[in-house]
Amino acid sequence: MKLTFKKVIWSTAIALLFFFQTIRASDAIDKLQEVYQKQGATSFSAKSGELLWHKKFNNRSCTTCHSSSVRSEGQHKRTGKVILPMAPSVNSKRLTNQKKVKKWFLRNCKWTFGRVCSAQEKGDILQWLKEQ
Amino acid sequence: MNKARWILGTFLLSSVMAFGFFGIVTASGFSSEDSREGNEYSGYQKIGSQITFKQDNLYNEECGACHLAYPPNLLPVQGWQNLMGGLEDHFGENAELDKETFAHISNYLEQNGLQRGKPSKMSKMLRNIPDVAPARITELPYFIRKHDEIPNRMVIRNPKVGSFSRCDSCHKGAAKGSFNEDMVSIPSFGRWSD
Repeated sequence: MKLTFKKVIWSTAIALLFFFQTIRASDAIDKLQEVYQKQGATSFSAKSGELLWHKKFNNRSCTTCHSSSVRSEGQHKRTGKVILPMAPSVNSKRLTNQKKVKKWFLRNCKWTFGRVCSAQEKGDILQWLKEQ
Repeated sequence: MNKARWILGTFLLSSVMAFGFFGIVTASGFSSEDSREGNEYSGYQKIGSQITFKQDNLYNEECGACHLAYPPNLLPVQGWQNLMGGLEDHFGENAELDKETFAHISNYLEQNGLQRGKPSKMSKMLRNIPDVAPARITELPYFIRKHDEIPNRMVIRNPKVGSFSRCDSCHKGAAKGSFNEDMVSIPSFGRWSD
Protein backbone atom coordinates (compact mmCIF):
# COMPACT_ATOMS: atom_id res chain seq x y z
CA MET A 1 0.00 0.00 0.00
CA LYS A 2 1.35 3.41 -0.98
CA LEU A 3 1.63 6.25 1.43
CA THR A 4 -0.47 8.85 -0.34
CA PHE A 5 -0.50 12.52 0.47
CA LYS A 6 -4.17 12.35 1.39
CA LYS A 7 -3.62 9.64 3.95
CA VAL A 8 -0.75 11.48 5.58
CA ILE A 9 -2.84 14.61 5.93
CA TRP A 10 -5.77 12.62 7.30
CA SER A 11 -3.75 10.84 9.97
CA THR A 12 -1.90 14.00 10.99
CA ALA A 13 -5.22 15.79 11.44
CA ILE A 14 -6.52 13.08 13.73
CA ALA A 15 -3.26 13.00 15.65
CA LEU A 16 -3.46 16.77 16.18
CA LEU A 17 -7.04 16.47 17.37
CA PHE A 18 -6.01 14.04 20.11
CA PHE A 19 -3.02 16.21 20.90
CA PHE A 20 -5.08 19.33 21.53
CA GLN A 21 -7.70 17.44 23.52
CA THR A 22 -5.12 16.66 26.19
CA ILE A 23 -3.69 20.15 26.51
CA ARG A 24 -7.02 21.83 27.21
CA ALA A 25 -6.39 23.10 30.71
CA SER A 26 -9.99 24.13 31.14
CA ASP A 27 -11.57 20.69 31.42
CA ALA A 28 -11.98 21.12 35.15
CA ILE A 29 -13.48 24.55 34.56
CA ASP A 30 -16.01 23.28 32.03
CA LYS A 31 -17.22 20.72 34.55
CA LEU A 32 -17.44 23.27 37.35
CA GLN A 33 -19.34 25.67 35.12
CA GLU A 34 -21.82 22.89 34.32
CA VAL A 35 -22.34 22.40 38.05
CA TYR A 36 -22.86 26.14 38.54
CA GLN A 37 -25.46 26.15 35.76
CA LYS A 38 -27.32 23.35 37.48
CA GLN A 39 -27.28 25.56 40.58
CA GLY A 40 -29.14 28.25 38.66
CA ALA A 41 -26.49 30.26 36.84
CA THR A 42 -27.22 31.37 33.28
CA SER A 43 -24.56 31.88 30.61
CA PHE A 44 -21.21 33.12 31.87
CA SER A 45 -19.69 36.49 31.06
CA ALA A 46 -15.95 37.09 31.09
CA LYS A 47 -16.61 40.81 31.37
CA SER A 48 -18.64 40.41 34.59
CA GLY A 49 -15.95 38.10 35.91
CA GLU A 50 -13.26 40.67 35.26
CA LEU A 51 -15.30 43.40 36.96
CA LEU A 52 -15.89 41.24 40.01
CA TRP A 53 -12.18 40.32 40.20
CA HIS A 54 -11.29 44.01 40.44
CA LYS A 55 -14.27 45.10 42.54
CA LYS A 56 -13.33 46.70 45.84
CA PHE A 57 -15.26 45.71 48.91
CA ASN A 58 -14.28 47.19 52.28
CA ASN A 59 -10.91 48.03 50.77
CA ARG A 60 -10.36 44.42 49.77
CA SER A 61 -10.44 42.85 46.34
CA CYS A 62 -9.02 39.78 44.63
CA THR A 63 -6.13 41.97 43.53
CA THR A 64 -5.14 42.67 47.15
CA CYS A 65 -3.27 39.37 47.20
CA HIS A 66 -3.21 38.34 43.54
CA SER A 67 -1.65 41.69 42.43
CA SER A 68 -3.07 43.96 39.76
CA SER A 69 -2.22 41.52 36.97
CA VAL A 70 -3.26 37.87 36.94
CA ARG A 71 -0.15 37.18 34.88
CA SER A 72 2.11 38.35 37.71
CA GLU A 73 2.94 36.86 41.06
CA GLY A 74 0.94 38.02 44.03
CA GLN A 75 1.64 38.12 47.73
CA HIS A 76 -0.44 36.97 50.68
CA LYS A 77 -1.49 40.14 52.46
CA ARG A 78 -0.77 38.87 55.93
CA THR A 79 1.95 36.26 55.63
CA GLY A 80 3.81 37.72 52.66
CA LYS A 81 3.95 34.34 50.96
CA VAL A 82 4.36 34.52 47.18
CA ILE A 83 1.25 33.47 45.24
CA LEU A 84 2.01 32.18 41.76
CA PRO A 85 0.20 33.84 38.82
CA MET A 86 -3.47 32.91 38.28
CA ALA A 87 -3.46 33.13 34.48
CA PRO A 88 -3.28 29.67 32.85
CA SER A 89 -1.25 31.23 30.02
CA VAL A 90 1.69 31.76 32.36
CA ASN A 91 0.94 29.07 34.95
CA SER A 92 -0.40 25.93 33.28
CA LYS A 93 -1.25 24.24 36.59
CA ARG A 94 -3.90 26.84 37.39
CA LEU A 95 -7.57 25.89 37.12
CA THR A 96 -6.80 22.21 36.53
CA ASN A 97 -7.97 20.90 39.91
CA GLN A 98 -11.66 21.26 40.72
CA LYS A 99 -11.18 20.60 44.41
CA LYS A 100 -8.66 23.43 44.72
CA VAL A 101 -10.84 25.85 42.80
CA LYS A 102 -13.78 25.11 45.10
CA LYS A 103 -11.68 25.44 48.24
CA TRP A 104 -10.23 28.79 47.30
CA PHE A 105 -13.53 30.22 46.12
CA LEU A 106 -15.02 29.36 49.51
CA ARG A 107 -12.19 30.88 51.53
CA ASN A 108 -11.41 33.85 49.37
CA CYS A 109 -14.97 34.98 48.67
CA LYS A 110 -15.52 35.08 52.42
CA TRP A 111 -12.29 37.02 52.99
CA THR A 112 -12.78 39.45 50.14
CA PHE A 113 -16.55 40.02 50.07
CA GLY A 114 -17.47 38.77 53.53
CA ARG A 115 -19.85 36.18 52.05
CA VAL A 116 -19.86 33.15 49.76
CA CYS A 117 -19.99 33.84 46.02
CA SER A 118 -23.00 32.83 43.95
CA ALA A 119 -22.79 30.17 41.26
CA GLN A 120 -23.11 32.93 38.65
CA GLU A 121 -20.22 34.94 40.13
CA LYS A 122 -17.91 31.95 40.34
CA GLY A 123 -18.70 30.91 36.78
CA ASP A 124 -18.12 34.45 35.51
CA ILE A 125 -14.74 34.69 37.23
CA LEU A 126 -13.67 31.33 35.77
CA GLN A 127 -14.90 32.40 32.34
CA TRP A 128 -12.62 35.44 32.46
CA LEU A 129 -9.72 33.76 34.20
CA LYS A 130 -9.45 30.83 31.81
CA GLU A 131 -8.93 33.22 28.91
CA GLN A 132 -6.03 34.96 30.64
CA MET B 1 -8.05 -4.43 5.69
CA ASN B 2 -5.60 -1.70 4.84
CA LYS B 3 -8.06 0.93 5.88
CA ALA B 4 -8.50 -0.71 9.25
CA ARG B 5 -4.74 -0.75 9.66
CA TRP B 6 -4.55 2.94 8.91
CA ILE B 7 -7.23 3.74 11.45
CA LEU B 8 -5.55 1.61 14.08
CA GLY B 9 -2.16 3.13 13.26
CA THR B 10 -3.45 6.66 13.45
CA PHE B 11 -5.21 5.96 16.71
CA LEU B 12 -2.11 4.46 18.30
CA LEU B 13 0.16 7.22 17.05
CA SER B 14 -2.08 9.97 18.30
CA SER B 15 -2.59 8.31 21.68
CA VAL B 16 1.16 8.00 22.13
CA MET B 17 1.65 11.65 21.16
CA ALA B 18 -1.04 12.73 23.55
CA PHE B 19 0.39 10.72 26.44
CA GLY B 20 3.87 11.95 25.68
CA PHE B 21 2.76 15.54 25.68
CA PHE B 22 0.81 15.08 28.87
CA GLY B 23 3.96 13.64 30.42
CA ILE B 24 6.05 16.59 29.36
CA VAL B 25 3.55 19.10 30.70
CA THR B 26 3.26 17.46 34.11
CA ALA B 27 6.95 16.66 34.39
CA SER B 28 8.16 20.19 33.64
CA GLY B 29 5.55 21.64 35.99
CA PHE B 30 6.76 19.59 38.91
CA SER B 31 10.47 19.95 38.28
CA SER B 32 10.34 23.74 38.19
CA GLU B 33 8.60 23.81 41.54
CA ASP B 34 11.05 21.37 43.06
CA SER B 35 14.13 23.27 41.96
CA ARG B 36 12.63 26.46 43.26
CA GLU B 37 12.29 24.98 46.72
CA GLY B 38 15.64 23.30 46.52
CA ASN B 39 17.48 26.49 45.74
CA GLU B 40 15.96 28.33 48.61
CA TYR B 41 17.54 26.11 51.22
CA SER B 42 20.42 24.49 49.38
CA GLY B 43 23.02 26.67 51.11
CA TYR B 44 21.96 25.38 54.47
CA GLN B 45 21.47 21.72 53.80
CA LYS B 46 24.79 20.70 55.32
CA ILE B 47 24.18 22.28 58.68
CA GLY B 48 20.43 22.12 58.90
CA SER B 49 19.50 18.99 57.05
CA GLN B 50 18.43 17.13 60.15
CA ILE B 51 14.66 17.04 60.04
CA THR B 52 13.28 17.05 63.54
CA PHE B 53 9.77 15.83 62.79
CA LYS B 54 7.76 13.59 60.52
CA GLN B 55 6.73 15.35 57.30
CA ASP B 56 3.25 15.06 55.83
CA ASN B 57 2.51 16.00 52.22
CA LEU B 58 -1.09 17.01 52.76
CA TYR B 59 -0.18 19.17 55.75
CA ASN B 60 2.63 20.83 53.82
CA GLU B 61 0.39 21.49 50.86
CA GLU B 62 -2.66 22.75 52.72
CA CYS B 63 -1.03 24.81 55.46
CA GLY B 64 2.00 25.71 53.39
CA ALA B 65 -0.23 27.32 50.76
CA CYS B 66 -0.42 30.48 52.85
CA HIS B 67 2.48 30.33 55.28
CA LEU B 68 5.38 28.22 56.44
CA ALA B 69 4.02 24.76 57.23
CA TYR B 70 5.05 25.13 60.86
CA PRO B 71 6.80 22.02 62.14
CA PRO B 72 4.19 20.31 64.37
CA ASN B 73 6.70 19.93 67.19
CA LEU B 74 6.63 23.66 67.87
CA LEU B 75 3.27 23.63 69.63
CA PRO B 76 1.64 21.46 72.30
CA VAL B 77 -1.06 19.11 71.01
CA GLN B 78 -3.62 21.09 72.99
CA GLY B 79 -2.57 24.26 71.19
CA TRP B 80 -3.02 22.57 67.82
CA GLN B 81 -6.45 21.35 68.90
CA ASN B 82 -7.47 24.88 69.86
CA LEU B 83 -6.23 26.14 66.52
CA MET B 84 -7.97 23.45 64.49
CA GLY B 85 -11.20 24.21 66.32
CA GLY B 86 -11.34 27.67 64.79
CA LEU B 87 -10.18 27.45 61.20
CA GLU B 88 -13.02 29.65 59.99
CA ASP B 89 -11.39 32.50 61.86
CA HIS B 90 -7.76 31.52 61.66
CA PHE B 91 -6.08 34.61 63.13
CA GLY B 92 -8.42 36.72 61.02
CA GLU B 93 -8.27 34.59 57.88
CA ASN B 94 -10.64 31.92 56.63
CA ALA B 95 -8.81 28.61 56.47
CA GLU B 96 -11.70 26.15 56.25
CA LEU B 97 -10.87 22.60 55.21
CA ASP B 98 -13.08 19.84 53.89
CA LYS B 99 -13.95 17.06 56.34
CA GLU B 100 -11.39 14.53 55.14
CA THR B 101 -8.49 16.97 54.99
CA PHE B 102 -9.46 18.30 58.40
CA ALA B 103 -9.42 14.82 59.93
CA HIS B 104 -6.09 13.95 58.32
CA ILE B 105 -4.36 17.14 59.44
CA SER B 106 -5.85 17.01 62.96
CA ASN B 107 -4.56 13.49 63.33
CA TYR B 108 -1.10 14.45 62.05
CA LEU B 109 -0.85 17.33 64.52
CA GLU B 110 -2.06 15.19 67.41
CA GLN B 111 0.51 12.51 66.60
CA ASN B 112 3.39 14.93 66.11
CA GLY B 113 2.63 17.85 68.37
CA LEU B 114 4.36 18.27 71.71
CA GLN B 115 3.15 16.33 74.70
CA ARG B 116 4.42 16.07 78.23
CA GLY B 117 6.23 12.80 78.75
CA LYS B 118 6.73 12.27 75.03
CA PRO B 119 10.36 12.89 74.09
CA SER B 120 10.94 15.43 71.32
CA LYS B 121 13.84 17.58 70.21
CA MET B 122 11.58 20.56 70.85
CA SER B 123 10.30 19.55 74.32
CA LYS B 124 11.77 22.76 75.71
CA MET B 125 8.88 24.57 74.02
CA LEU B 126 6.64 23.08 76.72
CA ARG B 127 8.39 25.00 79.50
CA ASN B 128 6.10 27.13 81.64
CA ILE B 129 3.10 26.84 79.35
CA PRO B 130 -0.15 27.99 80.97
CA ASP B 131 -3.04 25.62 81.67
CA VAL B 132 -4.74 26.55 78.44
CA ALA B 133 -2.04 26.15 75.82
CA PRO B 134 -1.85 29.06 73.36
CA ALA B 135 -2.71 28.37 69.72
CA ARG B 136 0.19 30.58 68.65
CA ILE B 137 3.79 29.45 68.71
CA THR B 138 4.84 33.07 69.28
CA GLU B 139 2.89 33.12 72.55
CA LEU B 140 4.73 30.22 74.16
CA PRO B 141 6.82 31.43 77.13
CA TYR B 142 9.90 29.66 75.77
CA PHE B 143 9.52 31.37 72.42
CA ILE B 144 9.09 34.77 74.04
CA ARG B 145 12.16 34.32 76.21
CA LYS B 146 14.26 33.22 73.26
CA HIS B 147 13.32 36.27 71.19
CA ASP B 148 13.07 39.00 73.81
CA GLU B 149 16.41 40.58 73.00
CA ILE B 150 15.60 41.16 69.37
CA PRO B 151 14.75 44.81 68.74
CA ASN B 152 11.55 45.73 66.88
CA ARG B 153 13.46 47.29 64.03
CA MET B 154 14.86 43.90 63.10
CA VAL B 155 11.58 42.04 62.92
CA ILE B 156 8.28 43.85 63.46
CA ARG B 157 9.35 47.11 61.81
CA ASN B 158 11.62 45.36 59.31
CA PRO B 159 9.68 45.46 56.01
CA LYS B 160 11.35 42.24 54.91
CA VAL B 161 10.10 40.37 57.97
CA GLY B 162 7.14 42.14 59.60
CA SER B 163 6.19 39.52 62.15
CA PHE B 164 7.68 36.90 64.45
CA SER B 165 5.29 34.43 62.81
CA ARG B 166 7.45 34.37 59.70
CA CYS B 167 10.05 32.01 61.15
CA ASP B 168 11.63 31.29 57.78
CA SER B 169 12.49 34.93 57.13
CA CYS B 170 15.40 34.57 59.56
CA HIS B 171 15.63 30.87 60.42
CA LYS B 172 16.70 29.45 57.09
CA GLY B 173 16.21 25.87 58.26
CA ALA B 174 12.70 26.50 59.64
CA ALA B 175 10.89 24.32 57.11
CA LYS B 176 13.03 21.41 58.25
CA GLY B 177 12.43 22.16 61.89
CA SER B 178 15.93 23.48 62.45
CA PHE B 179 16.16 26.63 64.55
CA ASN B 180 19.84 26.59 65.37
CA GLU B 181 21.05 30.09 66.25
CA ASP B 182 24.07 29.70 63.96
CA MET B 183 21.73 29.58 61.00
CA VAL B 184 19.89 32.80 61.79
CA SER B 185 20.18 35.52 59.18
CA ILE B 186 17.94 38.54 59.65
CA PRO B 187 17.10 40.25 56.33
CA SER B 188 18.96 43.59 56.03
CA PHE B 189 20.80 42.85 59.31
CA GLY B 190 22.54 39.54 58.75
CA ARG B 191 23.66 37.11 61.41
CA TRP B 192 22.44 37.34 64.96
CA SER B 193 24.22 36.25 68.08
CA ASP B 194 23.51 37.17 71.65
